[in-house]
This record gives sequence, C-alpha cells and structure tokens, in this order.
Amino acid sequence: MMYKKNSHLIWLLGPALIVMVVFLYYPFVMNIINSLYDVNGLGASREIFIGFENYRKLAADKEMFTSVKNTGIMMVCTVVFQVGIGLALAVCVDAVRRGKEFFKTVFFFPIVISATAIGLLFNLFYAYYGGMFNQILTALNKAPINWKSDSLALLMIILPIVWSYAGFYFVLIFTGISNIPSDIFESALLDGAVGWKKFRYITFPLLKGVIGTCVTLAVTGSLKVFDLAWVIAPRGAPKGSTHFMGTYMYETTFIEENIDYGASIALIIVIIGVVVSQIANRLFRDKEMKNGNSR
Amino acid sequence: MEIPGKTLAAAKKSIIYIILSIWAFTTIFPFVWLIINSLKPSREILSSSFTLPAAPNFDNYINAFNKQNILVAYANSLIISGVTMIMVLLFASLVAYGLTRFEFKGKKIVISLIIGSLMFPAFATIIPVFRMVVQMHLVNKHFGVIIPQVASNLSFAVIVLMGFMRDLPIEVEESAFIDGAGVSKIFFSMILPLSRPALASVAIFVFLWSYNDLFTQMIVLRNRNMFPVCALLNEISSRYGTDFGLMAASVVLVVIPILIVYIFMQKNIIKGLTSGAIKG
Amino acid sequence: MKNSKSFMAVILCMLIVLSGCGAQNGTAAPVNDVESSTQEESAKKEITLKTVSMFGATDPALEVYNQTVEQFKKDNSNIKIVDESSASNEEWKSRIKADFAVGNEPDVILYFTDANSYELIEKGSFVDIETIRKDYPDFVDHIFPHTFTNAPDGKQYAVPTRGFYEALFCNKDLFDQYNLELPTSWDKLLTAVETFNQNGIVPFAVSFSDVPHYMIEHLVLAAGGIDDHKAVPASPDEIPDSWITGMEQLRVLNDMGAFPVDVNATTYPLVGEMFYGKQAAMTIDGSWFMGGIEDKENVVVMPFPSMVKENSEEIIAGFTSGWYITKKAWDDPDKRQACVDFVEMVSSPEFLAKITTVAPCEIPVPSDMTVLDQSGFDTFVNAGEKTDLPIDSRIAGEAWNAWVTSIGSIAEGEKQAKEVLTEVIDIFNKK
Repeated sequence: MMYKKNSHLIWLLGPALIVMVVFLYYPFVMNIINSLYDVNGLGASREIFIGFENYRKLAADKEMFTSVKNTGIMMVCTVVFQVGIGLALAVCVDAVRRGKEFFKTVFFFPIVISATAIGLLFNLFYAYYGGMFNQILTALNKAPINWKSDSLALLMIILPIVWSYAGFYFVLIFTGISNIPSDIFESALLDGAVGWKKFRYITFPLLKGVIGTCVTLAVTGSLKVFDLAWVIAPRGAPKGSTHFMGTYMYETTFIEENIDYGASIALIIVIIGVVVSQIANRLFRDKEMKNGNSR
Repeated sequence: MEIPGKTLAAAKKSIIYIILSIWAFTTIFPFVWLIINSLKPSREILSSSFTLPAAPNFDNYINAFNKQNILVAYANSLIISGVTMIMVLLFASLVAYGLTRFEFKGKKIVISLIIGSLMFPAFATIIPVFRMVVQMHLVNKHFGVIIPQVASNLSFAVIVLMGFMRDLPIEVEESAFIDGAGVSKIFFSMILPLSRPALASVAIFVFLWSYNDLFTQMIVLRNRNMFPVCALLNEISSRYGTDFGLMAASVVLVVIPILIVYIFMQKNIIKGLTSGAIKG
Repeated sequence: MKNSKSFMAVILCMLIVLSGCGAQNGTAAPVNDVESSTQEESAKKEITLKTVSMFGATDPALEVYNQTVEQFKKDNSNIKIVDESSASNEEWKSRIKADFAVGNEPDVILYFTDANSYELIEKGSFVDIETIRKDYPDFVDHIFPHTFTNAPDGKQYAVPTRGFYEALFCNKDLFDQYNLELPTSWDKLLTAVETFNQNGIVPFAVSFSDVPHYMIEHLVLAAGGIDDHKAVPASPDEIPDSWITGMEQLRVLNDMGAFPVDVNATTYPLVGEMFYGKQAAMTIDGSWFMGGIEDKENVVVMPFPSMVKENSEEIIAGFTSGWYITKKAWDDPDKRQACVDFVEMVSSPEFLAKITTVAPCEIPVPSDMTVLDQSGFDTFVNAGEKTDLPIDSRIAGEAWNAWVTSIGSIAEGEKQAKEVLTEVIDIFNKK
C-alpha cells in the first residue's frame, strides 16, 4: 500500500547505481570484452580477436578443473563451518553475561591481521624442519610429518582460511541477534522457551534473513579466496594441486600476464557465484521470500 | 528440583565459557605472536618464532617511524576510509531500503547484478577505472581512491543491509505512513535509526577493506605524503626480501587503529539497540 | 685491502678490454662538464620532471638516490622533480602499466629490461639509446656496451644501473666438517649431496613452489654451458638436449635426497632460513642474497658446477633493469635536456659506486671485503662475458610458468622432462 509509488526508486537506487555502473559494471564489461581478445599485459591493447578460444581452453584446462573442484570443497567448508562457527559463537556470546565485550573484540583479531602475517604464522606451524607442529611431535617421540604433502595440503590451507574469517560471520550474526527486539525474548521466556528451545523456535527463525545473507557472502567469498591461500601455498603448491579459482586467476593474470585468460576466469567466477548463491537462497529463504512477496 | 536445575545451568554456562575461551585463545594467539615477534630482528622470527625475543628491542618500530611520517599516513587512512565508509553507508542503505520495500520489474536482475559484482576482482576492472580517475584529474588525490572503493564496497553493504532491513517490523512503518509520514521521512527517521546495529557492522567492514585495499591505493596514489598506512608500510618489502621483523611491527601498527574503530563501532551497536528500542 | 685493490685494477682492465670501448671513449668529457655547458644553453624555463625508480623504502639505495635528486634540484633551479619511487612489487608493476596505458607515464623511469618492458617498447613508449646519441653523442658513454640489454626489436632502450649475478652459495663450514671439497665439479657435487643427506643435513635449500627459478636455470647451465643456455628454441625440435638432461637431474637429485622433504610446498623465506641456520648446505640464489647472510666468513659464493667440465666459471648474470626516457618526455623540447641530464646523473660512476658492486661501468674498488664478499666478487669478475641472463628474460609468461610449475612433477617422475619442455616451447612459440 505505502510502497507503491515506484518513482521513489529514482533517489533510492539512483546514486548507488550510477557509481556502480560507471566504476564497476562498465569496467567489468570491458573485462569481458578483453576475454575475447589476445591481451598480453595489464593495460595492453586488444590485439587479435580470438572469440571464445579462452573459454574453449578453460573447458579443457586441467588446472582449471582442479581449481573448480577445490573451490567447490572450499565453498562447502565456508558455508558449513565458517557460517556454522560464526553462528555458534554468536549464540554462545549472547548467552553469557560477562566478557561479551572481550569475546567480541578478540574474535575480530584474525580478520584485521593481514594475510601475509597469518600466512607466515601458519607456514611456521607447518614447516617440516623446525615447524611448531613437528617440534611438538618430536617432543612426543613421534616422527615429523610433511604437513603440506600432496594428501594433506588442501586441508591445511582450508583450515586457516575457515578459521580466520569465522569472526566475520560471528559479527554479522551477532548483530542479527542484537536486532531481535528484547520483548520477543521476554514473552518467549514466559512461555518457557529457554536454552535449545529458545534457539530452535525463537532465535533461529528470526535469524534466517541474516543467515541467508551470510550464506550469500560465504558462497561469493569462497570464490574469491586468494591472498591467504597464495601466501601459504604459492602456485597451488604442492604441484598445483591446491589451486582455487581465485589463486588460479591471479596466477594467469599476474604471473603469466595472460590478461585475457584471467579475464575469462573472472567471468566464470561471477557466473558460478550468482548461480550458486541464487540456488542457496532459494533453498534457504523460501519461507522468507513468501513473506517478502506478501508485503 | 531447584538445586540440580541451577547446577545444570551452571554446568551449561561453564561449557559455553570453555568453548568461547578456546576460540578466543586461537584468535588471541596470532596477535600476541605478532607483538612478541615485532620485538625481534627478522631472522629470529624465522629461526625461533615461538619463543620470547632473546633481546627485545623496538628497532622495528623505530624503523617504521623513522623511514616515513606514519602519523600523516594515519590521517590519510582515516580520511580515505572514513569518507568511503560514510558514502557507502548512505548509498547502500538507500538501495537496500528500496529493494526490500518496493516491487518493480527487473528487481531480481538488479539483485543478481549486485551479487555478481561482489566477485569482480579489482585487477579485472582497474584499467578502465584508472583511466577515468586520470581523466577526472584525481590521480594522487584521496578522492581518486575513494570513488572506486565506494563502488566496490557498495554491493557488500547492500546485500547485508537488505538482509537486516527485510526483518524490520513493517507495522511500525505502516502506522507512521497512516500518520502522514512520507517515504523519505520514514527512511531517515525510522529505518536508519532502527538499522544502526547493521549499519555499524557494515561500516566496520567497509572501513577495514578500504583501509587494507593496497591495490587501488598503490595505483592511484603516488606521493608518499598522500599514502595511507597500508601503502606506506607495504614499502618495507624491497628487493632484499621481506623484513619479517619490520612486517610484524607494521602489522601491529596497522591493526591497532582498526581495532579502536571496531570497538568504537561495537559500542555503537549497543547504543543503536537502546535508541532503536525507544523509537520502536 | 691492498689485495682487493690490485684485484679490482685487473678486473677493470679486463672489463674495459672486454667491452671494447676503452679507447673509443677515452676522451669522453666528464659528465659534470657536459651538464654545465648544456645547462647554460637551455633557457631557464620552469620544467617539472616526473621520475620513477624501483628503490623501495628499505632499500639502502633510496637514501643515496634521494640525496642525488636533491642535488640535481639544487643544480637546476628551474627544474622541479616529482619523484614516485617505490619497491618493485606486484602493485607497483600494475601501477606502471596502468600509467602507460592511460598516458600518465613519467618522463624518466627505472624499470625492467626483461619481458616486463616488451609491451611498452612495442607501443613505442620509450626512446632508444641510438636516437638519444644522435643528439647527445656522449650520452652515458661510460657504460660498457655489453651491459645494455637488447629489446626484441634489436634496439637498446635502457641505461643499465645495478646488476646482479646468480650463483651457488655454500656453507663452507659444513663442507669442512664432513671433509668435503667445495663442488667445483659435478662429481664433487654429487658426493656432497650424498654425504650431507646421510648426515641429516639438507643438501639444497630450495622450494619448488616459491622462487624455484634459480634451480631450473642452473641445471640447464650445468648440462649445456652458457651457449646452450642462450638458446631460444623456435620449435620443440630445437630444444637443446642439454636442457632435457639438465631437467632430468631434478629426478636424480631428488632420488638422492638432495632437496627438503617439503620441497614442493615450502616457501622461499623458510628455505633461506634453513641455509642461514646451517640446516642446509647449499642454495642457489642471486647476489642480493648476500645481504641477509650474517656469517660472512664461512659462506662462499661460487659458480654452479658444470656436468661436462671442471672449474666452470660460467654464471647467470646481467642487468635486467635500467633507466628509460619516455617518448613523451623526449618529444617535449623543454624536457629533453633535463631527462638526459637526469639519467647521466643517476648512472654516473659516483652514484653507482654508492649503491652496488655489480656496476655496468668502472667504479671505485670496494674495500675491506669479507670472505663472502670476496668470493662473490671473484665469481662475478672471473665470469667476464661468460654470462647469460636468466631464461625467463626471454621465455616468460605462460610458457615459463608451465615450466616452473612442472618441476615438482619432474622431480618425482610424474612427468618427463622432454614432455614438459615440449609443452613449454609450444606455448612459447604460439604467443
């Protein structure tokens, strides 16, 4: 009733869309065009039109295949563990009375520390010679382990990535909990909803919107995974087996200076991201969507 | 019945505290590790990283301060990231409000486009962006960094704010509408205050990403006097290889102001809650 | 000290003879005279010169450079200099490319002369030395001609400044401890690898995923010498056999336990630390690696041994960066003179002596050299012109990356050296 006059959309959406069209969409359209040409350096001119050659090459590229597979694993891990841990931590912090501020502050630490520093820390954990983990094993009279061997490496890279950004989802979900009007909790308390019941029937349903947002961000975030992975395992070490789409795009763009190929990977990332987050949202928000539509 | 219930509750409480403390330990550890290592020379960080410094010294900090004017860099960071943050919050909350309250043709496409732009890598768009920055004579100016950063952070802010605004109780808006309030009045006097917690969360991340966005900073800014903290301290890596001691010190120097901003914003979330409750 | 002085004299003679420019340029006027005489000619028009260097904030050369720029400003009151120097990392390279792409390029720039520059040269962004010398016949005539790098079009564009060499670094104390001779031949190298491995010392500090370039280059060099190393195969048939033999050594060495257990995934700083900490006996690296070595009496630098002869003196070395004058600045009649003066100044022997020992011209003798410094100096000087630039200065980008990313698989026998090189050269020639 009240939101019928769509002319309001001009001032609501206008300013942001202008900035985004000019500084984001137009440049990205240029990027898509680049993917159809041979471009041999950042800012180099488009030399030869090669059509969909890059996309054909991508379809047969073994490293791309590895990257897509690893990114898929990464995506599941970010959605399940990053968002899951974020949710668990938020609910726990909400449940305690003392130390809220303290936990909220320290959970934020890994997000602000640069990937270079965190990567160095984990490399010092993992180092075969004199690394912290192997020092502990030696102290326990166990044989040292090659933590970044072919079979372990992927896990060892996903672990710090999941850990370092769980705090991001914690902050968002905790904000969501803070947003729930306290009178809802009070009436729930009167109805005898405490602990798990309170979470299952009151908190969780009210958080669906926020968690849906987190899922979108986790899906898109996993497709962007790049810097920490690159510091811990440059060039998808060992032997290119831990490449993600983000690191592979970086390698083709900056190491190989194959700008057009990198551009085509960028487009694939965007397409996968939009499709997967739409599917995830449909699964997650079906109820919510109906609410939205009834408005 | 009373007493077991209480002990059960107490046991639950302590389990929660144990879980939180374990996670807190993992997050505090790297920070403490950084601070301790920032007091060591570079070599010692690699050779004995997990011990206290043999002879703690502040050389790395002295170096970081000596080589450049870091206070000016802090000011530059505050200007760039602060303005970026405010512009993003304003524009994004307008969009989020529009997209959650209005129905129109092509809305789904707009939302898909916004989600898609979350994944645009900076280096895929930089050349056209930089060309415009040059044409607008914004090279070496703060605004030349701010505009591309506003554009690239908008999509994140819109997505998060949409999630929150969708959950705001629409009844309040309806009653205000019946009392004769227009859309702009509702937005500024109800939606924005009610969204304060969400705005604060978005603000901190936009600030953080703008603050850490070395790529745009390095391409647009040239003059060292215009450099924000990250760009200035990035200079520590030279052709002689990275000095890890200096790196640890500069990470500490980079992190502390952002933590202050975060704590400040968190306080705001609580405040937002109470003021929102009163209005609601 | 005396010793090193006489040494230097010998070397300088050698370099002069080798460069073949000694007599030719014997009468060149001192740089300063050229400057002062030309300055008076040009009217005192206000000029702003935009300069860019690769001297980063922690690079000791930056201070010297800044002082020199200040001096230049003092000497030329009409010239304003806007300098945008920065460490040459990935962001910096992107910035330079972005600048040239949109016409925001500097007037004078210290930049790479390898594949990084080809795109810009092709676009005609720089003016070549020959053209400059048409107007300024004495332009940087103190620089040895063989130190200039040829661009793909055969012309020379950049004035070389700080050079480098790559060689084998040995922890001599570890060799002494196990009664091993320094590896001046391939057999001695294999003996050392075997002995170290048996005694729990990692023979080679290297990472195959992070900066493995030195290992690749030196195995090729060891197998075929400098001439084969210089090959630029136009098709897989033209790949020198020595390249394949060299790469096959990866597997031989790997089977002998020559590399760290985590060689496929460790990082460059960590393996560097293994060498510094005497956990590893040898490493191959560039001359800049010397800066990080604290034990300057027990570490020595030497040429990587050859598989076909003893006491090889061949090394990878050269000048992969230099000062360019941009076309845009050259075509501006007001700026031309200032650019030439500026480049003369930052490539003068006085300036170079302060920032490097690997200079493209005569520089004063470094005094008080440590064992390490002396060995490095000898390695570079003995090589004379028996040097070559790294392979990736010619075979770059996608092709080189295909090579680099395959060496772990070659070492473990998952891929054959010949297959990999065929693929590399195919990619190279497609471009």
